[in-house]
Amino acid sequence: MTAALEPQSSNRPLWRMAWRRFQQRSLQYILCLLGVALGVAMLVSIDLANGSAQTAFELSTDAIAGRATHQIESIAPAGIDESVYLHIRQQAGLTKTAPIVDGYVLAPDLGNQPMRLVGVDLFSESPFRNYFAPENQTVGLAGLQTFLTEPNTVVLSTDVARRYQVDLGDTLTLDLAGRLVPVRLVGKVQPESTTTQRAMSSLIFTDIASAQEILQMEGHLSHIDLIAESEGDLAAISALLPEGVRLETAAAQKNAVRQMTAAFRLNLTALSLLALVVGMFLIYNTVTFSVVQRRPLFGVLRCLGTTPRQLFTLIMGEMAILGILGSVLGLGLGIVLARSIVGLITQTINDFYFVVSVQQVAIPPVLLVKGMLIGISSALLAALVPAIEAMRTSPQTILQRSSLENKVQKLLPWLFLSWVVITVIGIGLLRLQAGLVVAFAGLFAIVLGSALLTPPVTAALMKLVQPLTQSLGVLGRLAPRDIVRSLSRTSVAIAALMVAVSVIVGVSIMVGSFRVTVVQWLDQTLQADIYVTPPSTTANRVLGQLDPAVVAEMKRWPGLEDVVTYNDTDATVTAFTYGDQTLEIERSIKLISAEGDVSHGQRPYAWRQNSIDPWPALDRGKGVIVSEALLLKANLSDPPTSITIDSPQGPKTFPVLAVFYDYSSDQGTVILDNDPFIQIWGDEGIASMGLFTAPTVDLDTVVEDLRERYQGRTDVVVQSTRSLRDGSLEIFDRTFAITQALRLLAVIVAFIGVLSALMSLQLERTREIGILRATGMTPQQLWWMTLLETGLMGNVAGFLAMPLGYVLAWILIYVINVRSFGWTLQMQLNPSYFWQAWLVAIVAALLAGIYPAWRLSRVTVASAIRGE
Amino acid sequence: MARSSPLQRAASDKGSDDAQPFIQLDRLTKSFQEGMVDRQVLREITATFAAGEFVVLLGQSGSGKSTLLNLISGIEQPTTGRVTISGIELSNLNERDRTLFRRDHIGFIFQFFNLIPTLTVLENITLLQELAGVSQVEVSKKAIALLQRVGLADRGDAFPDKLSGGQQQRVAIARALVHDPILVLADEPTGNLDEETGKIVLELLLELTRSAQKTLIMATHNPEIAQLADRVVRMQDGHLVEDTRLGAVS
Amino acid sequence: MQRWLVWLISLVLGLFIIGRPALALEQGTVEWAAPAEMPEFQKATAPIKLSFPKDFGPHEDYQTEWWYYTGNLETESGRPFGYELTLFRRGLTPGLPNQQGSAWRSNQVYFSHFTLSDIENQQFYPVERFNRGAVELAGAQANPYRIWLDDWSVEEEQPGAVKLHAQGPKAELNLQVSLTAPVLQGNNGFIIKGTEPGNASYYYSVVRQPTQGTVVIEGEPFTVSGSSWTDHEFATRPLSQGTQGWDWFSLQLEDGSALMLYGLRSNDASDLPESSGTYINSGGKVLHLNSEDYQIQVLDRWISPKSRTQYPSKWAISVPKLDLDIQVAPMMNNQELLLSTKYWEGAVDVSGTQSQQSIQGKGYVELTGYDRDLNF
Repeated sequence: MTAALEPQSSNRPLWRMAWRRFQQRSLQYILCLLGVALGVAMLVSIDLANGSAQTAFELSTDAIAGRATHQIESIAPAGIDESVYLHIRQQAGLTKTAPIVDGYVLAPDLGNQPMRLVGVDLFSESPFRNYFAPENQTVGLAGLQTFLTEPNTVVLSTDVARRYQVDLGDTLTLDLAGRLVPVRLVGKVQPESTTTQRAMSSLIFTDIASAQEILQMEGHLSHIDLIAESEGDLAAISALLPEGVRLETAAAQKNAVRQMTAAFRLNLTALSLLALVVGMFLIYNTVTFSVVQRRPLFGVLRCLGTTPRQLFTLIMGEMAILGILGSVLGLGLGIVLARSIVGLITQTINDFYFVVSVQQVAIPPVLLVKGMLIGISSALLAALVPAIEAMRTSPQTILQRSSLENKVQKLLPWLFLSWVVITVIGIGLLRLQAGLVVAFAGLFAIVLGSALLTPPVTAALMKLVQPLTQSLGVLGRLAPRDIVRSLSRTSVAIAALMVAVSVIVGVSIMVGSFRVTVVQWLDQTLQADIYVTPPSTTANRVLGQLDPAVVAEMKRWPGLEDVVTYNDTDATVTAFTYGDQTLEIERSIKLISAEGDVSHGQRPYAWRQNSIDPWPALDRGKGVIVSEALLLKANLSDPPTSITIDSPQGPKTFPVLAVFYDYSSDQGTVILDNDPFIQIWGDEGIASMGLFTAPTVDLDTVVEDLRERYQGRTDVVVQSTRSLRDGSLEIFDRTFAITQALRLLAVIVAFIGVLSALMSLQLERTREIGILRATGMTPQQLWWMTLLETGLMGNVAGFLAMPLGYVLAWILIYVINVRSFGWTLQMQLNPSYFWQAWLVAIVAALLAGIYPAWRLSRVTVASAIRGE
Repeated sequence: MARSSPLQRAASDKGSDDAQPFIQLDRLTKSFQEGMVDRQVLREITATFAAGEFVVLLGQSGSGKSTLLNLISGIEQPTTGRVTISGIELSNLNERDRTLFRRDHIGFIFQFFNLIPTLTVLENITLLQELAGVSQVEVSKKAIALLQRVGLADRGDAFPDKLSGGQQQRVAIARALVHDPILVLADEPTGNLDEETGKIVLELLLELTRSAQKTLIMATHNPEIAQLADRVVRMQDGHLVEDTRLGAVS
Repeated sequence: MQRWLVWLISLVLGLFIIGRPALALEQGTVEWAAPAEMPEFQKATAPIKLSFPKDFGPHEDYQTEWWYYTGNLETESGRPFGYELTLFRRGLTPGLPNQQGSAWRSNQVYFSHFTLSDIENQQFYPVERFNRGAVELAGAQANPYRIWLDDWSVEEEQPGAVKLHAQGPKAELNLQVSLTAPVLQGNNGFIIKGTEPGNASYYYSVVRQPTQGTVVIEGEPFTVSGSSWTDHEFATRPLSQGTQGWDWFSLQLEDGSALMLYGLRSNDASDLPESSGTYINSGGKVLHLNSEDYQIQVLDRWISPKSRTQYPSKWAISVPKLDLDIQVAPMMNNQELLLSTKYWEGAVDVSGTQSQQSIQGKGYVELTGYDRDLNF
């Protein structure tokens, strides 16, 4: 038949039939819908939560940076000397410049969250941010009188003021690393758009003079915003900038922040993708069933003149509708879910990367569209094979059941072969030194390959267990046979469960190994007995320094054998040098200035020059110690001879003495002796201290004495090693809370998958069961048989999940983690990871079997056996 | 016989004691709710069947034959009335006991054979006995013997879909007889077979039941088969309209 | 076949794409807390002795202060330009804050207007700037005489030689102004502007200052020379309630004399009696003029196409005491400043007769309050 002759045809009757079927088997379709929805929900929620944290940061950055094209920043920790600003305005004559003095504070009256105190100069604001432009103030400058002339007056967004019920004239307290500063609210700013309102939700504005006073930055600026209109402007500015001050584009800055969390976000996304993959198994399963079950119907339809294309359309159409509905549901669920996980993600970002406060989940339509597209296309993709299968239905009325399964049996060797091929590809991808996305692609290949291996392994295993189950009687013999006979469907359910459980095993091993590694590392590194710090603004990071008087007093405290002090600043490594070869890079790091080793030589090293303790050389200013993350994230395996760091005095090169493990930062850490640090970076402050007590004195007494001495001082925190260690582990556990949540979700999706598969499987056998019941199988025996089968399937999934889980763990630990964060972990195997996962698989399968068993036991025998 | 239940003993006594009939149907009615309408399938059926009798339920489709068989076997419960087999009233038994009763004492033959596709021919026959806890060895022996008798000794390991309709129905007969039931219920056993095959299957069925003095109740719309019966019960619209005892059949 | 499906999907996608928000850094409004108390500035209630150079500098006890430079310039070939460079000081609280803590703390707000009038091309280049009087960003001092805001400045480089510099995106001004003797306006520099005590200001002018230098327009420099006029005035709320604005004339005539006149207008459009003026003859002799000593008649009006504000645009001025009858007309109408304050200030031509002798001149006219009430 040529296309031109093709008669008019309508699919309407087919859709009507599909609708009838949906009504009859709504539960199956609903489960399938849920599978799509949960997969999409996970993807979307992670995306949204990630994006919200990112957007919140960027929005607040934008709200501050405004229309700035560039920023002038300081390399020195103290900030930019304010005379730089004067020179730019008066010598270069550039007025589209605005000075900013900002810093993080804790606002106990505003929900005790970290907020950004932004000191602005209203007179230079208008090119950047119009909220305060004097031309908006119809009363002239009188309104600004208090803000400008009275110290410690602040402006909040109207929203924040409303949320925390503070009003004009109220006094708030700001907590600056324990130093409490009262401020008065003298203005409420209401930006026109909600986006900007949201951006302002974590900002406190104050006059630049107040900001300098509150943040103790007199004489200095945090940065200078700039709108450059020409290259000439930039050249004029560059000529004016002293050493230690640099010009950066606003885009580059935003990018740096994005880069910082890229690996973290990608990891979460990959985890959420796993859920979608599991969801796809579920879809595939449901569609396959719906096709298999309707084969007789399709046969008849084909006899009656339905075209194969129409059947294909029918299946794909059904799935498209389910895909759309599921995706929409998933988007909704995802948004709800995002609201609960955004806190977890924000916490981690605050702990490890930068301070951000997310008040609201931003819902950019792009992400929703992405979730929608992925949901629909994965649904269609999963339905493709069964749809083609449906298309190939030959016109016939009698179903040759066994031939269908025989086809699967014949496929088994090919499936095995595909597993080999895909696994080899996966290994290849993992071995490629080509970044994180490729590594994840490799990981996914391994997982998918294993799914393909499921049918042959299931068949083999069932043959193996038959002698064992035979002892359970005829049902024991029947159950494995049933699984094999319906392999095309059972193996999909098993594969879905297996993937989910292997993710549990893999992630558990990874997190467990991580934790053990961190505990060991903490125990080796934290050798001092007492730690003194200012209170932290966020959990992991101390954004303040100790009162110098306190430091001086501590150093003279009786009963102490040794006192080590630390300070740190953000810096940029610009080059690695290997012999006479120089590799130019640009990498943000944490530069630690150390006086003394807090580990007293116990710290393990990944590499040491001449294998000797690097501290004596470090102490003499002979070089630096770098963290392994600095090298691993740059894809470098060998330690460089020296590194170059951008300093206030220009680029400085330091020999590398050793490479140490550091699990507190994935950005890279460099330790430098305090003498060169003070000389070059000019910061004599102390951020933390470690105290070693003399063996002759009682540790508890010293701690008590210290606490008593600093009682009532909110800016000094005295901690024992134990509490510091516990605090660190608490952060660790909190970081992985999100992982746990995702893991649980993957299991839920898999559970739904198994439930749906088993249900279809059992419902398909309704008639068969009816005969068994008619001829004398008791309901109890029926229960037994169903649960035996599902239990067996759970066992197979659990059995397969163990090696796969181990492989996943290996990949996560030795490939993904290293490339994402630059951390080397020691793999720790704990039998409980395995048997627990096995248990999860079996319990999930059994639970999933309960409903179908119950349904079957309720089927009236008479209707089941009534003719076809 | 390996096991002998009181029922079986009672059944074998039946021939000599007409006062208590083997199967007693007492004012059986069965109705189904169809939407708002109550559809009466069986109306006030009262009948007794003696042990060893070959009864044909004759009637057109929808006359209630299959439902009556389902009630006798305990697959369905009557709306009102009682079924008593060998002094045991089925409606007094719970679901499990009815199933066990069926498993141990009734053989069932369906129009569409209804063999389990995932089991071999032999397994189809032995399945129920095994479910009843009879050892596989023992039941296999019996099954093989039966297979021999239905002429399929060589097809024990085949799967049902490799067999022709007649062969499948012969397997079904073997399955219905393997546990040595006292009552065999057959619902249009030849309805799905061509005339020739049907005849062969029917002869086989009769031979196997009659020789063992089993009660056989067969639903059919085929008057020819009725010729072979001890007794023909004609059904129409759920009523028992005629009950004819034919003369002794040699 | 799956047309409807495609349609459905595009509909769904379409729904998501609509209404995508963009981060716009638009304006906002600020609600400020009312100041705890209105600061009490000193008021101009009686004449004081102004002495120089001390009084070239700022007077922080008074709330408002300005230094006005205007001038008429031309190139050697006679191409005319006009300029205005004004620095305003406004105190938020009286006096100077005691300087401790941040150097940025300030109660002095400076803002400045710079305009250049390119008469030939009918182009006007107004720019405004703000800054605080702190960290050397803006300020005023008497000795050496210097008033500045960012890189805009009026600076006495050598005794008697004042350098003016201002630069906007399109126009730039670099002038050397030779300081002449200050002329005290009104009663020894005290002029009354309203009915209440304190409705007055201290005011002196420096007129007929020879000026030379360059103006740059769109990158093209012009060497110019001409004459500049400086007004320095300080006060605290000098206007009475109901004063709508003023018309201010600073005219430099070819015979070497100069005339300053101002007319205050009430919001019922009538002239207020507190208007006055000063005539400085070519010998430097100063004659005070009361409001009844002169008449100003508006001959024409101009409606700004940008602000829709109507300004007077031609005047007949007669000072019978001086036998002076002149007409004053803008060199071009387009000299309106639409900045934080909206007013017209521009170069004008003067022609007429004095004692039957024809007389020519140039000058500057300032027209305020045509847009709305001035809140001084």
